[in-house]
Amino acid sequence: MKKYIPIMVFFVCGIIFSMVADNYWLDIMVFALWYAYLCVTWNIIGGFGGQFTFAHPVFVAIGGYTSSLLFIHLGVSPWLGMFAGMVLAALLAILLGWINYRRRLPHLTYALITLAITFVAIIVLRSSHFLGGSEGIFLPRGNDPLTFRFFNKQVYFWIILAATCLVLVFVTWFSRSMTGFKLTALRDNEDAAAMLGIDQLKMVATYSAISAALGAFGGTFYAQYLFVIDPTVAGSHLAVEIILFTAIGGMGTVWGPVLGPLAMVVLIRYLNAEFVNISGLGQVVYGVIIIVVLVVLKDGVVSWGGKRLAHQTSKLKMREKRQ
Amino acid sequence: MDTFIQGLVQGLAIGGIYGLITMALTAVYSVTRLLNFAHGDLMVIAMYLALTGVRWLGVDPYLSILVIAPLMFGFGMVLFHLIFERVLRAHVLLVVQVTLGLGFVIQSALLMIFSANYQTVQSFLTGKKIVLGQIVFQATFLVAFVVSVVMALLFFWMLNRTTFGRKVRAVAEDPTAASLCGISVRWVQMIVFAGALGTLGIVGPLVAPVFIVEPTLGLHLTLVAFIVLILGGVTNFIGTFVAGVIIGLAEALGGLYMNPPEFAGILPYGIFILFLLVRPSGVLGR
Repeated sequence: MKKYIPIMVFFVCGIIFSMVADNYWLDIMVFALWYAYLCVTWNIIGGFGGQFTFAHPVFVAIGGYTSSLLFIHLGVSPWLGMFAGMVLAALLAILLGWINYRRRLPHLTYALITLAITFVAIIVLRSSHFLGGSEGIFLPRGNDPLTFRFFNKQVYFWIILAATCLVLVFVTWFSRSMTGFKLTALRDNEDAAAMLGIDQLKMVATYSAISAALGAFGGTFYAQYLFVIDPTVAGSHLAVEIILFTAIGGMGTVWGPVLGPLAMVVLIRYLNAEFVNISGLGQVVYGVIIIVVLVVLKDGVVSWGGKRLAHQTSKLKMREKRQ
Repeated sequence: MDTFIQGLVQGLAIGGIYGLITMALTAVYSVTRLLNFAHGDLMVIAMYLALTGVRWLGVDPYLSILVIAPLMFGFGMVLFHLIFERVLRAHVLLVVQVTLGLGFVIQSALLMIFSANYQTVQSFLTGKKIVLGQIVFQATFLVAFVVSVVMALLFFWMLNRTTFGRKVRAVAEDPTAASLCGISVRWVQMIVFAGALGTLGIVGPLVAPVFIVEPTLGLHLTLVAFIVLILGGVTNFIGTFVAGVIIGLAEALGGLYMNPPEFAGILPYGIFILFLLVRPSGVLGR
């Protein structure tokens, strides 16, 4: 149980924050947590599984569009509609994984396929009349807990906080479980893992599907929070942001994809608010920070710190043994 | 029929340009094993430099190549020294992250300076038409195509007939053996990287009058270059050029005949995924 304590602390801190913060900060932190949620779900297959995918925004869009369309045309509550989106996203993820594994394509081809898919998705969404074109789909505003609509920003904050913590619990368990080790083994050495009898396609398809389905909930949440979902959410821009936020925290770690976006979103908002007349300065600064961190540490902050800590403790142990 | 021929010329021109962009990407990859996801963004810088030249200095984009290409070459040497040299031995995924970060910085900086507006670059050839019998096509496309073919030939000649080309091939084949033969691997890598950026410095202003210039164009160009690279076969330069032309033709002809025309943008990606399913070794696969 000890390993879940940091998550409980994180959750309690979040609740306390939501009690004292004003609407401005709540809005910033809802977005920061939304990014954190997307990064954590991306990290399941992108970090632990080493499947460098750009398709996460497409899954987000599938989730948002499916639940919104079901709500508008059939009156299905987004609380139920989100599961339809999750299933669709998982199916697409399995299909993409299958294309990749069918021919054992070289490294990074998967990244290119998924990047191509984001460009296709945005074109399809923009030119489809049924999906609302470039305007997207607008949801009627309201305050109705049964259909996932609230006027109070605190509620949205609690929902995304709880979702992030639940996924973190899953990732914490998973990162120390047998299946988790199998997945990282696949990432580090495909051939050796295959020799141990690990079924590549099954592993990658399963965890791609889980990652995609969880990402789709992020889309439903986005649509319900802003009362609109439009094609930009499927774009490669969001994919790059997810990857870079995760990279600066540390890929394949539990806390890297949480801390990276939380720190960076706040920094970007601060810089953009402070220097209003130089719009976009926040993005430039944060991009430079990421490059410097990656080039100097050769790793994300959390994974680098973890390695240093392990190094120090092993040194101490050696010294104790000698004495 | 006339529109078809025009689409054909346009597709050939854009395809030749795609081939050239990819050759620069491949050259860097073959001597450094770095997959540069900021490749397209670096080219967009050159396009904006051409735009700046036209808007504020009144220099024609074709003339500004004389300044932009050396500028990009120098920028390439600095960039190699500051960033790329430090990640040469790092994991491939780290390189992707770093170059994505670089692309992100370039894109954000361009947004900051030039705003997100779509811009067009005027040259003295804009609007001029060339008439060959019954076929009419735009001069800008013809110039782009001719230059890309000449550049590609120059590239082959340099690689196969000059001492520097031999050094480049040696480094691409086996860096350790090359350095044992007294070749400065670092120097070759730096010059090839800077040369690739110099090429983008020529291509950027060349296509600026043809393309619509906007800050987020970069990642699309990078992806197209990678698609052409994979379709053409990674080390096959002729295949690269053929694949570039295929993608260019698909885009141009798709724009003419598909309904709605926006769907033409999907074609290159569709062809890419189809090829991966049917023929993963590329167009001219072994």
